[in-house]
Amino acid sequence: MGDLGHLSLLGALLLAALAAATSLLGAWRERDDLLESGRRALYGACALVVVAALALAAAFQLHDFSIRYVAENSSRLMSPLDTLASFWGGQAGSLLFWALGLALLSALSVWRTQRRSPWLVPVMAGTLALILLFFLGILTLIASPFERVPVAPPDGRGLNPILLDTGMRIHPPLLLSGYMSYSVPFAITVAALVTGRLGNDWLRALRPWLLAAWTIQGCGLLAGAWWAYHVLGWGGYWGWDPVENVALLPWLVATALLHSVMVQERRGMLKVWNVGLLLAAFNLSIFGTFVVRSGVISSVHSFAQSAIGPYFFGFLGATLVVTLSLLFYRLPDLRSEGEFDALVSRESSFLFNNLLLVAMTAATFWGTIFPLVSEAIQGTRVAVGPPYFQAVNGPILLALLLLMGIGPLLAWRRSSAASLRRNFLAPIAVGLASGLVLVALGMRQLWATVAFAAAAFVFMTITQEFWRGVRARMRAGEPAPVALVGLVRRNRRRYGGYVVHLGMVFVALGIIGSTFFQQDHGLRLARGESATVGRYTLTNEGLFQETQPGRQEVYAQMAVQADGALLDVIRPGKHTYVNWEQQPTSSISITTTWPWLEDLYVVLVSPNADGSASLQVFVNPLVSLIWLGGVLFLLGTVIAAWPERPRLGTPRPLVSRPQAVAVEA
Amino acid sequence: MRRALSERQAPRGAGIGLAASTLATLLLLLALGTALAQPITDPDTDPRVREVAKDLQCPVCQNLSVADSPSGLAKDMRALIAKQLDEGQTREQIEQYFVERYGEGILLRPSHRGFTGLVWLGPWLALGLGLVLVALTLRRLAARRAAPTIQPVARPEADPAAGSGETDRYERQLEAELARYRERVG
Repeated sequence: MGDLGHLSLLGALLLAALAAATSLLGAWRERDDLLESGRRALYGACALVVVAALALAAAFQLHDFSIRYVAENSSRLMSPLDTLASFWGGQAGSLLFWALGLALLSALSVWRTQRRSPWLVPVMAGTLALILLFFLGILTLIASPFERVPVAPPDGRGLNPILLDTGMRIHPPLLLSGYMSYSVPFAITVAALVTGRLGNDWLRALRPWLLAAWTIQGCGLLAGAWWAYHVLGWGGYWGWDPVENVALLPWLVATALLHSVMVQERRGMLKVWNVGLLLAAFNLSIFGTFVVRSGVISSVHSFAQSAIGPYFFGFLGATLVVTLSLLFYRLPDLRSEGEFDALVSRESSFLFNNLLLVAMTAATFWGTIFPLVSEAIQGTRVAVGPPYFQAVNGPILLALLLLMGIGPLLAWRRSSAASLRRNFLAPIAVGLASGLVLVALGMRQLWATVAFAAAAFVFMTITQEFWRGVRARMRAGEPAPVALVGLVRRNRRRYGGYVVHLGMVFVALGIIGSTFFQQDHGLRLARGESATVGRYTLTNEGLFQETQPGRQEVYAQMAVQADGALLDVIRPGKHTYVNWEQQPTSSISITTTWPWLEDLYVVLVSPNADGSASLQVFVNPLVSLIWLGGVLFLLGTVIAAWPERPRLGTPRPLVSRPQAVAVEA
Repeated sequence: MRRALSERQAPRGAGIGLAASTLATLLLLLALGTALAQPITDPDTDPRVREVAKDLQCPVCQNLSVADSPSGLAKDMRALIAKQLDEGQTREQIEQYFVERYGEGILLRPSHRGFTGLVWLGPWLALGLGLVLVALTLRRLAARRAAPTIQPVARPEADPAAGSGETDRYERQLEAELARYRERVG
């Protein structure tokens, strides 16, 4: 298996080199035969990467411990599903997963673009082949997953226990795929820059791939938050850890870009800015992969450390130089066609949206790399922790939330005073009223109240949009559900966008609730003893021990009463894995309760010899809304991205005419 | 009172930070008030200890605060913080104590002074730069819009003799058409 995998990777490396060379040469000399062979070489490289990945997966399932990577990341005791997840448990496998995703996506995107926008394909295929070449080079020369050990051990070391979880099967592949999938919009943009066709042709080819990358990465981030919340046991879902931060960066930039391309689509403005954002998103995604997989910034994720850093740095530098030169070369072609009419307009709201998102990206980037900067200049490594990121990003997030309510209700070009009144009267009233109600109910935290009121305001703007659309169709005689479906189907991008916004409102509610109103208590309960946390009473019914193959489990059985009635019996526990005795993991008990959607989050810190249990108990309000928001986010992007059925008899215009082909946003 | 406030906010950009630190001081005073009232019995759970401990980095962990870390050292540090709070020391004094022993790197909330202050300056700089960029973009694009409406006014002045009846007529007709168009659109 090891030899098959290694040979496949070598073959893929050669084919990727061939694909890059023939595609770019063919583009330069305008030779169709070269272009054809370039595409075929790319498909071939893709097939060989798939073979290599299958070989590694098979080696894992067959417990071939003569391969170092298999021996270090799995053991005979692990279930087949966990063994599958070992694939991306270390550095070499993660990189192979990256390459696998990139190869598949390259083949798919080249094949599709060949049918729709063939002029992009030569340079696009060449660019994708170059990126693939870089990763295959790393995989064959520096960090091979198929490296052999001289003597095969009888059993492997097993996977790091904090990675043995459902989250481990979802979060890393999603996040790696997210990073990887920015390559396609990047390659399309490089092709557009080289060919000089940067109008709506570029946007139309770009949009689905950008949206896909953004969605995949967004889901990866949410899955990561979910995993941290359910496995790490410090009561939160986002720790502003360097690796989390660098994963957030390309997503923030892509969010800005998804909004600002609408300005270009409609009004032909901001072209240079959009190209710049796209280049930034790709470079940040490479930077993210580099940080995750190099351990350059210490973090909880740095179980994957190595010396691939300099190569990534070189690749990043080369990409930046080439793409920035291309951008400067094309500057004259990127002049704005439109013009601004008024400050109170959709265009300017997108400008402010971009300003906030990019400022947040810059602040997060700066805080993340500052320890390195300080070490290089001052000689001391300072820590930049959650307090910094919360202080800096909190106000920006609040402003973004407000803008999310304001922007979509402003008209393109200019908004008249009458339309402002008509659109904003009800939402502002609802926002203010909910703020007052919260104060009347006893909420005394100023910023929490403001943030909740802002969320209510945004919620109302979105509801109002749906209501107006549905009401208009109901006047035409449709019943409400049919009207709703019809409304969304007629205008997928607009209403899909609203659903995403709605998801973000729920995420915001969860963040506000858990940031301002988290309670946490450490308890030490003897057997039979009770303690009260908030409205919950916990009783220790004793410690129990269980032995599973490969691990020991200790748990405390606790009865939970809320307001006098038995709510649940929970079993927070600790798992100790064979080979990983120094690193026991927590099995956290999370109970969500009505009506405030509080999570009663109980961690067994240590089972004590005297039968008592040391516990850390958190009460986290509204966190489940974050997961609900995540589902809405995914639903909204699927609605927005769903391909529209081409209408018969109306061929798409081939020339770039921003006004005519603009799709409702 | 009003004057004193505006003077304190004089350095631009530091306003919110100042307000936040004033608020923090107030909260701390409040916490200290209660601290004086009753001694800390359990350093691991006491909210006053947590308030200080959550901004200190656990020296033997990666990205965990002293408040959240399960390590023995963090437990000892929490007990020390509790003792110092009981002795009536302020948060700043306690932080200073740990900085002297473990270095600047122990503060999860980086200091506003000296070189480390740069980390707080960065976001303001980014926001300010972005605002300037947005303002410039708006102005440049708005200016381009203004240009064509000036042109027709300037032309007859430059060449008054050429104002033949025919050109005038066409121009009047164009103006009228435009006016009608605007009425319909607006």
